[in-house]
Amino acid sequence: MLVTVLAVVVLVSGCALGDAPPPAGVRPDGFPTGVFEKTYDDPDFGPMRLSWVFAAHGDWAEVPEATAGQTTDTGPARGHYTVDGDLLSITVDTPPSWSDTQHHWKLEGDRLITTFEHSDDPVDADFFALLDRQPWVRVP
Amino acid sequence: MSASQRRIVLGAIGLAALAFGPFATYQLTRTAERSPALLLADVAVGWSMIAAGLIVADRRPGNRIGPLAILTGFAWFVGDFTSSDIAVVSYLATVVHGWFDPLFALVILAYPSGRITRRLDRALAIGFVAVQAGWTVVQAYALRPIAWWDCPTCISTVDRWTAAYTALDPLGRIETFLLTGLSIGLLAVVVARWVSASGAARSRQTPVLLAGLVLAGGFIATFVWQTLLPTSGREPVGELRVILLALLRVLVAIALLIGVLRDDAAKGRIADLVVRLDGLPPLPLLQASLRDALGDPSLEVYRWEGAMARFTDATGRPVTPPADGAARAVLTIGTADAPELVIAHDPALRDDPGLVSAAAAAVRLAVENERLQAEVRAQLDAVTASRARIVEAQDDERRRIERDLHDGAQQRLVSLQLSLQMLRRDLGPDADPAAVAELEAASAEAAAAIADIRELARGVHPAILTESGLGAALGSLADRAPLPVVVTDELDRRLPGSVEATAYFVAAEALTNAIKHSGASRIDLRTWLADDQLHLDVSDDGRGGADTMNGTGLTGIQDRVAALGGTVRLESRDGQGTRLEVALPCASP
Amino acid sequence: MGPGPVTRPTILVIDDHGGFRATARRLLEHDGWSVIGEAVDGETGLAAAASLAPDVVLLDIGLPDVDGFVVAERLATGADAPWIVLISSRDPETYRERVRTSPAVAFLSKHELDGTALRSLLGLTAS
Repeated sequence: MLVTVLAVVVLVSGCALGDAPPPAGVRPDGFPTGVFEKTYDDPDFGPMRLSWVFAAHGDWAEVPEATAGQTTDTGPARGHYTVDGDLLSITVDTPPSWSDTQHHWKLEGDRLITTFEHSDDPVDADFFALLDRQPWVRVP
Repeated sequence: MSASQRRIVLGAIGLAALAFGPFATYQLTRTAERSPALLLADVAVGWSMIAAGLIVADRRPGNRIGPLAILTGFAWFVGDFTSSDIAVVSYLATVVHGWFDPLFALVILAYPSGRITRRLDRALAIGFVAVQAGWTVVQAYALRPIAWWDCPTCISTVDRWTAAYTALDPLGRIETFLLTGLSIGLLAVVVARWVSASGAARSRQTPVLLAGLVLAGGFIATFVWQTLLPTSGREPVGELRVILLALLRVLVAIALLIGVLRDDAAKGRIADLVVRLDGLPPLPLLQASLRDALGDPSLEVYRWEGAMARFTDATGRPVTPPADGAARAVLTIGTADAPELVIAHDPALRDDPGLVSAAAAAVRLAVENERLQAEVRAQLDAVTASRARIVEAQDDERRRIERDLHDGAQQRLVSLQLSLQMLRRDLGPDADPAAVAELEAASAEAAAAIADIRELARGVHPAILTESGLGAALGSLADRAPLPVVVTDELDRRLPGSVEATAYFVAAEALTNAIKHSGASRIDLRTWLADDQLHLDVSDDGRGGADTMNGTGLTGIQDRVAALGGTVRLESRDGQGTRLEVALPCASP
Repeated sequence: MGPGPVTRPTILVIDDHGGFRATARRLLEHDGWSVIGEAVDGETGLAAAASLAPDVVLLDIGLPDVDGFVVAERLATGADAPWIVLISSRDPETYRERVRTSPAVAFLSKHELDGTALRSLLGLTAS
């Protein structure tokens, strides 16, 4: 019975629609589109890889992955981003408890350097302090 | 699989559970601090279900409840791995952990026979399995880490994931709602059955009732908790509630086990029944035995009276047995055309078909036994009758030979003798002395021949027996004996020919033996009638010590006596003389 | 009771066997008897005895119609009953008690039939 269930799951999940991530590129305002990632050591969850996905029309997603096979309680986030000069504003739609954040950004080749500016949630400051230590690396 | 192979497998499973259980319970500590009481309760639930399942699988190998309970126990332990810090393990455990309750429900529905036969029960079982299977599929899809999805970094994938994840909560509530409804349905069914049952059937249903209460109670509590406190479904529950529920589940496992073991006691009673039903007892006794063995005081047995083509109950009243249906379970021993017995019992016993069929088998065995015994008796009667006929035929033959001898050779010799006498007279007084001497010699020969044939005929069948009866014939024997023989003849009537002949020849043989071997000085011959039996007693005051009748002509006589249904007894102790007692039944001629 | 010494005592032979009756007649007459009648069965024997009034009746036990002993009983009743001598081809042992209790004066086996011996047995010696 369990085998059947897992088989069904595999089947069901197999119906991806031939999706592709946003193509790597640069917007007219200089902001990149595509997927950027960085690895870091999360204080709660352990070694993680975090990906930020920027689509051309302002869709944004954050995808966390546990790199050591450990259990995490965190999942992807979904929202929108706007660019105003060198200010990147990310509005988080889900999870609803997450705050919107603002960062300064700079693109250097295939590296995107973001520096935390502001968030309504005070916890984010510490988190991004950790995160900002390295740049985002473009995923080809 | 043989019994020992099965034991090895069960033992291995038991050892695996012994190790796996604590390991699983330990996983609970990975996500939060847990009190020792909780950990203990967690291990207890899994172990009690597995232990109960192992015992049932050992005692009742064909019963599916054993493996089902073992599976339920392991499902419980698997559920602990949702707290694992290995993502894959945690994921699989989360997907699968809900199965404990539906499996538990299946155990309740299948109790005690291991089969789910009633339509309502089947519907509930299918419901539980379907809901849980559906929920498992949903969870398997939604709870996959994003990394397992196709294109994790596609916006659309994130959207899909998010949608699935948010849908999980309401779907979870639906799942709980459905399972709660099903468990209430199961509880209603179990309560209804318990209420409508009576006596032993009700006490058999009590563990099921308790289990149903626990199952339904657990679901209702969870449902109420979830609806009244709307939060995400992964809210850590109060430890006390968990411990309490766990304890109840352990109790239920124990109760179910006791229920099965009690049925073993019932099986033991059935085995006793088989031994006790040595042949078919009178109907009231059979009814009482079955009532006792099956624990059903309402059980009734009806016997088919072939001669009157109707059934009678245990009191002997003619009555029509009930029909098999919801109100009464009826089973027939024998065939539809030739029923022997009909047993009507509490329909609740249908839950345990093995028990009823064992009892029915015992009764069939008794019926068959009875039939075989009757056959053997009939055959024995036939053989006995045939033997008696053979003896009578032999006696008739002997009488015929005697008559033929007498009417044939004897008569001729008599005529010859008379002719010789006549010849003697015809020769006259001046006959040649030599001729006269020849004649007289011939006459003497004839007389001797006549005597010889007489003696021979007497040995074949003494005419006096036919003419004057046993008493006179015994008197004749006594007269011709060289020892004093005292005949006490208390017979007041003639008896059937073969009886008299057999008694005569026994007496003659016994007399010969006494005269030849015993060194007696006196022999007593007694005959009398008692209880429609001819008794013959031959006793001497000789040296005794004749230990068997073998080697004497009495062994042949024994067969004759036995063929007529009589008995021979020899008493002979050293120095205390010998006594032969014969009893022959004499039906009225 | 019986007649006094006579020259030739009278005798009635009751026997169903014709050959024996003929032989008995010859033998008895040779031995000084007067065979005044023969009968083939009990009833004719009784009638003959009544009408002929013999001194002695030689009576076969095995008669076809009536048991010889019964005939003997009936012969013995009435006035001037003759002496009854039972004969049989069987030996007297066969009849034992019945012979003893019968009104007959003697029992003979057929092959022992001897007229002279019979006369001396009954005290009817020839002159």
